[in-house]
Amino acid sequence: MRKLLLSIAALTLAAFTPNAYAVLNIELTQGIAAAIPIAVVPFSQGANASSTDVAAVIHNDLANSGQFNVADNGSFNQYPQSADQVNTSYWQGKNVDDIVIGNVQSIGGGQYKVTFSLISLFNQAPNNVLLTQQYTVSQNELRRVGHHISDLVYQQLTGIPGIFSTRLAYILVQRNPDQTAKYMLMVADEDGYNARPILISSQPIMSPSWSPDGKQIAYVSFESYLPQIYVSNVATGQRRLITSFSGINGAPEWSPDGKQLAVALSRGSANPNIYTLNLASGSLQQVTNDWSINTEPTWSPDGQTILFTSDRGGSPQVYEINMATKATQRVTFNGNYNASASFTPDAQNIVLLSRQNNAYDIAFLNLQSGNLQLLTHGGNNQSPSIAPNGKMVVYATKASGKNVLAMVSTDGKVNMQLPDQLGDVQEPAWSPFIS
Amino acid sequence: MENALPLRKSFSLSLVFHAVIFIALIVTLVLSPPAKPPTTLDLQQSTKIVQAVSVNQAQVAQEMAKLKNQQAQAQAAEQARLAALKQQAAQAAKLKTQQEQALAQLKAQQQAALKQQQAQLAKIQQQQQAAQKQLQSIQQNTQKAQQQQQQVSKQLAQTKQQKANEQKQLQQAAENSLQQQLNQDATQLNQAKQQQINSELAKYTELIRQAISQQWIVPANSNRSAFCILEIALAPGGVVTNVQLKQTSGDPVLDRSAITAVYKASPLPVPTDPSLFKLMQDIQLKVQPDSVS
Repeated sequence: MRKLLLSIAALTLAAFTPNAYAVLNIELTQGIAAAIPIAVVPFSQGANASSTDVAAVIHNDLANSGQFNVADNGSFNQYPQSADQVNTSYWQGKNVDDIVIGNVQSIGGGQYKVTFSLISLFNQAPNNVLLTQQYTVSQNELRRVGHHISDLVYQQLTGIPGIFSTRLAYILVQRNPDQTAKYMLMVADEDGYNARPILISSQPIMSPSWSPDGKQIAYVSFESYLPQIYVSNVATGQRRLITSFSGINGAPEWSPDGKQLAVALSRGSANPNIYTLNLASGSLQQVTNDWSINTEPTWSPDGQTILFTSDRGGSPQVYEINMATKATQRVTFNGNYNASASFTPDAQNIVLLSRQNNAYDIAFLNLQSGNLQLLTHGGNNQSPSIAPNGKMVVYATKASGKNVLAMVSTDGKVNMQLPDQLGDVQEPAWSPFIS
Repeated sequence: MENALPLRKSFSLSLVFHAVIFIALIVTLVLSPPAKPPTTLDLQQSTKIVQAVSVNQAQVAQEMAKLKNQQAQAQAAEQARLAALKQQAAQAAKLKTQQEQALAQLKAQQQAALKQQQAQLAKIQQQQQAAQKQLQSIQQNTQKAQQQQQQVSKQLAQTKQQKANEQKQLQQAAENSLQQQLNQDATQLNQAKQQQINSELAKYTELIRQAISQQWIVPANSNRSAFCILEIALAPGGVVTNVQLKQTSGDPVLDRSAITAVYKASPLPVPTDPSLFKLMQDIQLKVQPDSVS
């Protein structure tokens, strides 16, 4: 039988070789799930070195992305600056597949010339140079260039758009010794750097939400002691009042087309319901209509349905309502607390906050299988917000008695804390891709 | 030759016997009483006797008794001679019987010996046949074990043909048989070699697949139905000298992940035997993400 199989194999082999020239056919369907090993070679700085280490920005971006295993550059003793200086076998010996090389040169007038290349160690020249670019920027744009290079490298090697040039909005609370507090609507780079306030208030600010173009942020402000919904321009800080109904004005969320806000309004009743507000006309449409709490609306990527949290079943659970038919279905069934849900960009999963064993953890729910995967474990976490490429989730967590920001990859493999802020950080919101 | 001697013996015995009879007959003729005198003579004598003198009666009686005695004596001698002859004949007959008996005995002995020889011959033939049969069965078994059924029948046909040739011309058949044996050996060797090549090929194919699989980082977002085809050139020792993208998957990330995996797996496990390696130095690899481990 074995001989028969062998002869069949031989026949098959023969059938695959129409020419006298023998070619061995092999089929590969199985590989490994692993982070891509990469090295980021420190960039040469030359004279008039800037204070910004562009290579370090790239190194951290890739290391924190969950998709890369970035080699420790302390072990390097070669520092190639261009493709022809790359000793392939040396870098292969560092067990990496690709390396990022480059340099930053001061060209006077506060301007810097940044060049970089992405070299594959396992493709032969000239195909080994996967990317090469040159930028001329000012000192304060060097970090942005670093993030931009990270985006290019990430996309080139994973096929997924990078999120290193995106931003985070969040609320920073500084409590003073005299019992007063300072509430700030902040915007920072995705890695937590370059944080700056959009709005400062002595009264609470809540629920920031980015417009789809990344230019505006909607939020709730208690500056008049009652909750009101505002929209601020990120670049100019200009703001306008959107809703000021009696009772709760909460949880604004931009529709994917940017024309509407989904909001939670109580309008004089005891509990809020979901409404949509046309930003151009100001017209209001009621989406849910019952006596339970209905809040935290988020839109599906196609804008056809809205996810929201309701306690109509006795405990907070996530529901989905079809905007055209108003047909509503319950989405979460694991445990007695599921909230703060939003779709992944491919609409196949939702990210939410789930209470399991008295811990509040970030969870990833596959809508097709119903499988709920916890991305954090045994934490005290809040306010998950998903990155526009669907690969990372930012959330607020408690660490050493403070509220800080943290990120976890949607496969749960990478989890890290963002740089500490002077104060408590709440309700992060991940921006869309910013062009 | 063996029976010639008793034959000559019996022949000479009968010759002696006849001579004896012949001599006896001559003696009988000489000793028999003389024939009556012719009649004319008798008439002259009687006439003479009657006419001449008178005869002394006593003298005549005496002469008659004397004659009578002579006659009795002759008769007795004749009788004795006859008795002797008779005795001789009886002896000869007895001798002849003895001779015949000896002959019969000899003949029986000869037949028995012949029969024994034939039996032995048959036995030997049987043994030979049995041995041949055994030989054939051994050959068949060996062939069965070594070859597929198709090859067995082919070989049987070959063996049959070989036997026919042997029967036709012994000398030539011997040569032919030798030649065929050599050819057959060569064929068997080739078949065995081909099987070995196939099994080695299968082994190294799997080893190469594993080696590349362990290096292939499947892109996180890759489409499970997309595949690319690479052409891989190897140098002796398995060093990957070139990887060509023969057919793109449409996803450059998937294509590159596959190419990188092949180069990272270099040197690939290949056989040291140059003829075997020749069959593996050009590989066409189809890469399709189906599962990750």
